[in-house]
Amino acid sequence: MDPLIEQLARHIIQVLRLENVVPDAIDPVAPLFGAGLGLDSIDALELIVMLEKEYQIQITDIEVGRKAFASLNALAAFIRERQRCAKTQ
Amino acid sequence: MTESARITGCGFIDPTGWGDHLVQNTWPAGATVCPDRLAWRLFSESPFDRFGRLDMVSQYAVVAAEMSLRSRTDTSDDEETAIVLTTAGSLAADLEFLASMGAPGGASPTAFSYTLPSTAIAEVAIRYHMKGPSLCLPKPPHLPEIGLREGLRLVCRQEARRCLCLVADAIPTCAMPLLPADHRGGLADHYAYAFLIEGGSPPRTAVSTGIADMRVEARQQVIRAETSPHRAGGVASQLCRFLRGADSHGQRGIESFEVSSTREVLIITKAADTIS
Amino acid sequence: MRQDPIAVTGMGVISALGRGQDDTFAALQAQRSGLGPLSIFSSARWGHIPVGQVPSHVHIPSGGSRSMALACAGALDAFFQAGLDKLPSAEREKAAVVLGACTGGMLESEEFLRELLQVGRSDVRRVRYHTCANATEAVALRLGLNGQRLTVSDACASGAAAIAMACEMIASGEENIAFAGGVDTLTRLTLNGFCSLLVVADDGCRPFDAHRKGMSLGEGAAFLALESRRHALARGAEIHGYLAGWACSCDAYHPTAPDPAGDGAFRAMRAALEMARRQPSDVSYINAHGTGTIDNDLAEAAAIRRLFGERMPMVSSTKRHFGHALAAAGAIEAVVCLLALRHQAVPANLGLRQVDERVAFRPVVVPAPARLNVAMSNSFGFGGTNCCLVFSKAAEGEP
Repeated sequence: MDPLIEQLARHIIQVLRLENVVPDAIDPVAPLFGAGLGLDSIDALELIVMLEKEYQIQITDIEVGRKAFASLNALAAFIRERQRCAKTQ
Repeated sequence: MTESARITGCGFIDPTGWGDHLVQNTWPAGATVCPDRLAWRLFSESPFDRFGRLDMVSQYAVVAAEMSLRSRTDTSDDEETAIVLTTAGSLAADLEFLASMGAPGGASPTAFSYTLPSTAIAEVAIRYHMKGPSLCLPKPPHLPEIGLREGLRLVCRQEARRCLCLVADAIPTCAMPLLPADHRGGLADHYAYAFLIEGGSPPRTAVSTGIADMRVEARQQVIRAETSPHRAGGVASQLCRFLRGADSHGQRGIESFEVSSTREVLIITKAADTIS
Repeated sequence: MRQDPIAVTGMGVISALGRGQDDTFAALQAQRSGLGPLSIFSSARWGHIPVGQVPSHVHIPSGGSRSMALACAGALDAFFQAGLDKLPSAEREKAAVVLGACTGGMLESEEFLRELLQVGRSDVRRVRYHTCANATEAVALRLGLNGQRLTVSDACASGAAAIAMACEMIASGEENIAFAGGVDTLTRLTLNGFCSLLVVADDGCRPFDAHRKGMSLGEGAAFLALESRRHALARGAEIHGYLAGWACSCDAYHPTAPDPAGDGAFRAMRAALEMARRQPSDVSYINAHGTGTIDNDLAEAAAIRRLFGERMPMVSSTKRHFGHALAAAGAIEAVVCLLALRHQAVPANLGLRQVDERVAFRPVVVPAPARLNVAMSNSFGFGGTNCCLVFSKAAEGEP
């Protein structure tokens, strides 16, 4: 497993207190919200807090958050893109 | 009109264990009260995936509700409602949220959603599809009310056919400094008691599905509210023991139980077919 | 079920618009928003957000927590307007107090906790007013009342639910007189909390606007003195309006988000009208909950459309006047409805530039004189708590 994806899976499980879920069980391409893990709008906001705390990435627009949290893969790509932009500034 | 109703379900979780009016499960020796570990046993037939994400007082309320509703044979969403009475309310969540305000990343939205004491009722209502008028009633610890009077009012005024009356508190030890000194002793416990009441006169049929009948009577003389500190949850705990058929000395025999306020007395009498 | 209207014999209100009915109505007529800078505490992260703070020049009783002070101010004004100080004490002191509250003494408790976290100790006397029920006890003590006391904490529907509960007590004959209302203060917890949900507008709330960004926080208190019409007439009390119907419901949908279909809201509105024995076409004005969040405004609009169809009454949200005073909102807006009925004037939905096309009505944008007989007030809270109050004007209720 991609180390960033595994790390994100652990963060999500811990922050959202998901019961009986291990990192390997989260399909990196499956939707995180609605079906799949069944996360909701409050969970999305909690992940925004997690992003700032763990990766120093701020999201102030919930629509940006929706796209970033589409799946684990999408989230990893979003973080890498933001980190790349931060380095080049 | 004499306001009366029947208690048809009773559930509890407290330092002595958890169960309903017929069955008590005790905690293993040395175990601390831990709804998380309880959850997989309690909800195995109808999984509750979100249980671990609820705050503590919501967890306790849901467990007591689950135990009391097991005898429910039919459901009707908007004719069912729930009331929760709480003294410390969302205190634990308040602390967690306030601590998160200073943390990197900012305040926790999840913790914030539990800083309302009414979120416990919301969790019960969501889990059990109760769409009638819900009520969260914070109460000072020195008053003996346990929500039954309000529940009786709802079912007798036909705003709901059934009302789940809950008393719930869950306070972490670190929160003790946030409570006035003379109130702390009775609030050191984690507990929830649930009483399901149904409206209308007690059924006259020979086969009863109820546990006890409840009616309200006016006092002959209005008295001042009692000011001596009540052990929070104490009256609810005593009622629960009464309905389970065990008085404070573990003996049978007491057939009625009273909850008093300044002007009224709620009189709870065991249903005829439950008296041994 | 037959239901005689409950008479309102006194009103008290204190908010970002000031203290008292006259100041409040004048501000509504002048389209004055009470939103402005936060000053009762500082917030490095959110201090720039406009809030509906009770102005510092407004007199409130001293002693106790800010919640207790605001609640006592509102209750005292209702008490004296109702002329209850002239009743024999044996009768007066039986009156019930039913108060909606969410924040309680949190504003003071926060300071204790901050100091505790920073230096490891603080004065525990700061937290003696922490629980919501303290304000209820304070009001009862201040008014010299020894009757039933109840605190209702149903999130943003608390104040309205408290009024509904008090009406139940009077309608059933359980009580002759009841003071019912709501109180809440601005706190660091609620400011940070709602901001963490990304539902707070940095330019002030714009209910039902196509480009609304969210809510504005407020604070305040409001009380109604309530009694049966028979009781009010017997003692020669002036009646300012009636509670003709009330109803509460629960969405049972989500801890914070409303049911998008607005089903719980619809059921509460429909049940309140049924109790009032009115048809939707009888309603002249709706004071919407209208917080200015995307979700609430759409859900409420759906419920209103479903109940009223093409016979839409005038609608406005007054949240940009007061901010969202949480537990106090339903009680403040009850006073707004009663003032509207008395003065035959509908308050404006401030902040509206372009109506959201998904909203099936056009809110009133300037204060408008109108023939009003029946007004409805909606209050919806976290956890899906819904409460609807239906008011009728005084003249209609006279025998």
